[in-house]
Amino acid sequence: MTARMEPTTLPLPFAERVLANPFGPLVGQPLDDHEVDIAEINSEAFEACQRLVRDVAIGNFAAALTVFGDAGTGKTHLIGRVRRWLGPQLENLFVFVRMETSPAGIWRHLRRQMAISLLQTDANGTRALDRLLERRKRDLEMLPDRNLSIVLEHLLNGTQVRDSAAWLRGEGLPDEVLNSLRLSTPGPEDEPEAASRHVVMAICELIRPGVVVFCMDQIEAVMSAPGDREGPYAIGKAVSALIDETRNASVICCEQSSFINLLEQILDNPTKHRVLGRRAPIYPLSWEQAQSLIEARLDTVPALAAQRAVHGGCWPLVESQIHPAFRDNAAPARKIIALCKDLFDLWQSGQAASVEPLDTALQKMLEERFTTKDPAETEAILRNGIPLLARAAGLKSSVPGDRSPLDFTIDAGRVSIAICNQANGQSLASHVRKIYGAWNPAPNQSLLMLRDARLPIPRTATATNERIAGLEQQAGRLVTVSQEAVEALAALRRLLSDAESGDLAQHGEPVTPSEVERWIAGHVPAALEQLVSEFGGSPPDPIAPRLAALLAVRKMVTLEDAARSLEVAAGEVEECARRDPRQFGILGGRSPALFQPTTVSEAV
Amino acid sequence: MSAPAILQSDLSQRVIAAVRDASKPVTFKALAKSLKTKQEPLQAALESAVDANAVFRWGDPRPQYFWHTPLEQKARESILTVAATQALSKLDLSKLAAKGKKLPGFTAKRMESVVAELVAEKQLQAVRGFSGSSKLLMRPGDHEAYFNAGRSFLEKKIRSAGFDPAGFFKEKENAPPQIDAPAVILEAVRSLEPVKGVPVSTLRLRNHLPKLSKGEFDVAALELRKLQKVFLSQHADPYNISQEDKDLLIDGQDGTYYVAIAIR
Repeated sequence: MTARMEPTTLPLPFAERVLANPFGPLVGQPLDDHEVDIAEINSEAFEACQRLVRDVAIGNFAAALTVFGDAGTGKTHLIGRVRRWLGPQLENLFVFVRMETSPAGIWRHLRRQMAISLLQTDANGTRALDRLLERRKRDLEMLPDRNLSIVLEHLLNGTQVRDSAAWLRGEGLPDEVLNSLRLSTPGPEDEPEAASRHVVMAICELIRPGVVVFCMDQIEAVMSAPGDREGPYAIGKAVSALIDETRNASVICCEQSSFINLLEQILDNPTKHRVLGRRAPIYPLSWEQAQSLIEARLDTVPALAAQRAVHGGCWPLVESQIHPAFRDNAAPARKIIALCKDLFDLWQSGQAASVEPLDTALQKMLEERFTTKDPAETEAILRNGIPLLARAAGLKSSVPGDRSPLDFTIDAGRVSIAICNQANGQSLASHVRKIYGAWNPAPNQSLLMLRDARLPIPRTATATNERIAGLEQQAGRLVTVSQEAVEALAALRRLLSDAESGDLAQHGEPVTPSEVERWIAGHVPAALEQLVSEFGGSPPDPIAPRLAALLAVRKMVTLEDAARSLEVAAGEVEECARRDPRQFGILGGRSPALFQPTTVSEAV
Repeated sequence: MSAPAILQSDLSQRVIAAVRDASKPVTFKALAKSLKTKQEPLQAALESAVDANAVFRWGDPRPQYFWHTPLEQKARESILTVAATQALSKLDLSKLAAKGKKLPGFTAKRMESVVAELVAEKQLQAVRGFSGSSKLLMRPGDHEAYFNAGRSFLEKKIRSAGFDPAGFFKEKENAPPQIDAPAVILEAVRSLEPVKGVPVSTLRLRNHLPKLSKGEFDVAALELRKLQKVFLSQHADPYNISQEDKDLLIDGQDGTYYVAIAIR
């Protein structure tokens, strides 16, 4: 469409073509859109959010509100407005949660996001934690959860902040760190999800009478596959639990209209009543509303002010060129903004924006979603990403029952997957012991134990290493996942989550999850190829985990020594090390040496 | 004494008026005859009117006609007029719009490209045909045109089976007056909406209105949207749902499906 556009008015002279596009950087970042917010647009939905928070504050009971609308109509923008409204309310906590998680990890995800919000500083440099909990300092000693009490004390006193913050976020800590913090080590029967749920509820209680406003965006992302019902059901149960077990949670759930239909079908009546009892729809804009929005955005460009005062309206854009975005006098805000962005560029440059093929656009979108991931995030990323990766390989994955220590099975049990990413030695030992006890394979069944390559298992973890060796004798294998692979998987999942929530768009038109999945199937990043091939049952590489364990202890070792220790040929060790440069470094020379590369996060 | 010379500007105005008042496109010869003027000044006056977009030249290069509407626009109008009577395939629509050589130089082939433009502009929408995977084109939401196409299709089938279609449709025509489906849907949305303005799912509405067929329901819902009386909530990814699930939604006839209706 844009290729056929005519210039709206005369293009600017070259020297003046330096204006920032007022429709450009704000598209796709609605949460951070501070400058342009038309209060009249979606005012009813915003008032419903305000009413929810006030009702919870006054009524001393928790409640939820479901905000829903079509893709690009402004749900996330509304959350941005709620956040700004809550800004000056120092007694309340705003927790933004993009629901990129799996049904089995919802509480860990909520805990992490809540901790991030508590540790965030405002413009004055004050952490929400200090603002909300300083007055409760004396009560902390009486807190039933000893660990939480100690961690909060440390954080409020400014001692051992880094480790305490990691604990609050739910990250596993080595025994020596737990000991130095005087925290108890996780027991063999401790369930991380149950522990996280407990921490979330306890913090809510500490913040009372203030309100904790959970804004859950992209709820659809919790679905492990199209048509998945387990994810939506688990979300319904989690929201219901927040309402039942706290007295000060305001839960705002943003979702697409089709998702609400699914919830209506799968939730039982009490849960439905709690989650869907209050609803606020968001609709596409009318032409009049769109005009206000367009004019407000154009008014943010000071250089246009004088001429806009003369021409008025949407100048320099031509209104008749914006009309095609509308159907029966309605259009999603994002579609209007995207079209205006193109028209503004056209006006500035005299050239229509080129429409790139979807393949190219998706590749760029994927690259934009790459971010550095910490080993503590790996478990959630694997949990959330493996079903997608399996589908990309044309395989079907499923989740075994609650009691199983296995996380996924592929192709009806041909391959089983257990995520073993515990940073704490005892937690890892306990988990591996459970797997060891439960793993009883039939012929042709294999087990993959996935672990972040940045968390090598020390040689001193004798029991764990013995059990892993035992599992390896029963078609099991420890597979180290490189940082690159973790980040690629997170980016792929984010791309799909954005599509599922209607937040992935090309020129204002939503890109559907089906289109994204089809594209992913043909464009799995190279970093993930090895993991995908593992699902297909390719021959194992037994050297890598043993080499990693060796380097964890000796830090640097010559190739010859490594080969001797592992009892394999030096060439095989070298080949193994070269396959995974993230995990193994090689120093050249007459006698090559292997070492553990230091990651950026470790160096810092 | 010779007749007073006619000013060229006056002649141009007379040319424009003559073309405007003519009941159909006129040739140069006919214009010269009706204005009683010589070839040379008329040629100049016509050129000036054409340059000012007051008169449009049809046919390139021959035969040439002059008319107050651009040929392209007339072609569009012709297509939309035909489409309003009956939903048709692209080929049939183009042929019918070009029929009778009402538009000189506009073959059915050329008409097809204009049809494609109208589809791209959403002035025409593609709807499911009655046989195989065929598509028919019609004005958006114009259920009458679709019904007419359906009736024509059925008549052909009944006739080919050796029966008289008149008997079939006679019964229908004697049937009790049709339900005002849009009004019924609006009433149902109002009665079912949990809170004012909140959408009601199509599933609930269909269960509430069992007498409305899927076709009647969908057409009426699209009609209500066209009249800006309702918002329809779009399904995010219809490719990922089964046909059975799609049948519960409103078929937008252009690949979109709608899950709920809200009063606007």
